[in-house]
Amino acid sequence: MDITFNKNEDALKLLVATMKQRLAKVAEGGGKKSIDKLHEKGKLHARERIKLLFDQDKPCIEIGAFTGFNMYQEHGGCPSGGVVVKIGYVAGRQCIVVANDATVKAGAWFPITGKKNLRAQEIAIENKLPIIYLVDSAGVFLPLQDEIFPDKEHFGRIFRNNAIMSSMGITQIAAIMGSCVAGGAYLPIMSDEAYIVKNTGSIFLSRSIFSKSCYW
Amino acid sequence: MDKIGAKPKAGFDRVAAKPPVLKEEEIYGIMPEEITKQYDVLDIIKRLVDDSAFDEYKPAYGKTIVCGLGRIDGWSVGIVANQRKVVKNKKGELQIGGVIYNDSADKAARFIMNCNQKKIPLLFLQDVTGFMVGSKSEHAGIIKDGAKLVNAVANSVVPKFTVIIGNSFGAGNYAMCGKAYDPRLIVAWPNAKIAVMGGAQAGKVLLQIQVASLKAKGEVITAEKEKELLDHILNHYNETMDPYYAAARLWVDSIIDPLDTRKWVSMGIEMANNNDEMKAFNPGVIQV
Repeated sequence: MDITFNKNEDALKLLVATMKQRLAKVAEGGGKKSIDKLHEKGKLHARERIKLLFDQDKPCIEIGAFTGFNMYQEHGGCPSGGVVVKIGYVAGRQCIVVANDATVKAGAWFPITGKKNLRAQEIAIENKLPIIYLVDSAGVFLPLQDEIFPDKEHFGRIFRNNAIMSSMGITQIAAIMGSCVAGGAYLPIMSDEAYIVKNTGSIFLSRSIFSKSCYW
Repeated sequence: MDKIGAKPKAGFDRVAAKPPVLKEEEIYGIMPEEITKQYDVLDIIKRLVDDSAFDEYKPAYGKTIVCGLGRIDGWSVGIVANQRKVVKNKKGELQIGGVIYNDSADKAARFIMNCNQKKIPLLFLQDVTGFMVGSKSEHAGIIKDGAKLVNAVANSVVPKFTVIIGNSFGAGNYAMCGKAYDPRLIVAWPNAKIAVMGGAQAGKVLLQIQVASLKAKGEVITAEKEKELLDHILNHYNETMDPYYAAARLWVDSIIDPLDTRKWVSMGIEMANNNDEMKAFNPGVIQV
């Protein structure tokens, strides 16, 4: 046996094992407790939703599982950027799914969440790939709003893309699976088709405490 | 979803898939633990392509980049990969592995243009430390030859896929279809390193800058202090070269197990095949 080969093999396998461990941790989103709370409310976690949606006998790949890794520590972290994006198959058709993770700050959008949403839409646009949004989002993460709101590649671009993609003939289907507020409300309504989950889904622009003083 | 009508496809070529004849798992042992060590990238390519069959383009010329045609999960693909072993050109001169020379840039640019002409998707396997420097290559026009490669990559109309299998340094990242060149998917193996230059090189420059600025403020820099500064610089630099740092910021779409590379490329080409609108290939002014 070649000693160098064995040494290399051990080293790279260790890196792969570390990667898989980190992936497993990231997959817990905001943590096991938060997932349990979702279950108590009769809701499923973003990853569970995608798993049920995808054809079980077909492969899938995840875009940006490590998004936000070690970032935003001062805000409690943002695993997978608070949104899970996977490419797989639904009823035999290849598509891309974007699912907000309600266990990460109620699915609120961090700056990196915006970048990831735009990346998912870019993939759909470049490849004319049907896109499915499983929406469960509180909208912009207010403490960081200045980093995500007004610029060209900030959140406004997502809704602009919804319209552009519709015009391109790219299938866009949204499912409203939790409370979808403000920016979280625009996205599903800008999609070609929007479905709402009975009892758990709701959609509105602003809560009443805000509505006296501001407009969306 | 199952009732959506079929749309025209791009029409990339696909035949029945075959697994590689050589064992894919051996990639683990072939990739050197230390990024400075050499290996033959053909040993990697032959463990990624169907039937381990790879039709190499101009194997005796521009050897620091390996180009050629193969199939992944049945899909036809043009592969452009950095060669990390030291090679010799026809004149018997040594060429350092992982470095892009005039001849390898020319060859790769031509190969990429051929793939565009023949509607073959491109797969870049990056393990690159940059372009060759020094008066000899400067006089031979390395910037101009590099520009040809960057031009061909940027203007490619066939879908591009990038896998960072080792280093991704400097303009090598760009010429080998880094994130800025619109790869449809870009992923890194867990041993990848991404930065403007290698750590040791960057450390020296950053140290010089810091020492000069401290001296300007009247501080006396002892050898001990200098070592402390360098350690601090290197720690931070190495952290930013880490593939997780890149993945956290979406510079790459994912960090993957090398054994999942075939799956990513296959699903990627299948996805790209959905888009039948391909512009005519026009590389503009080629820097001859």
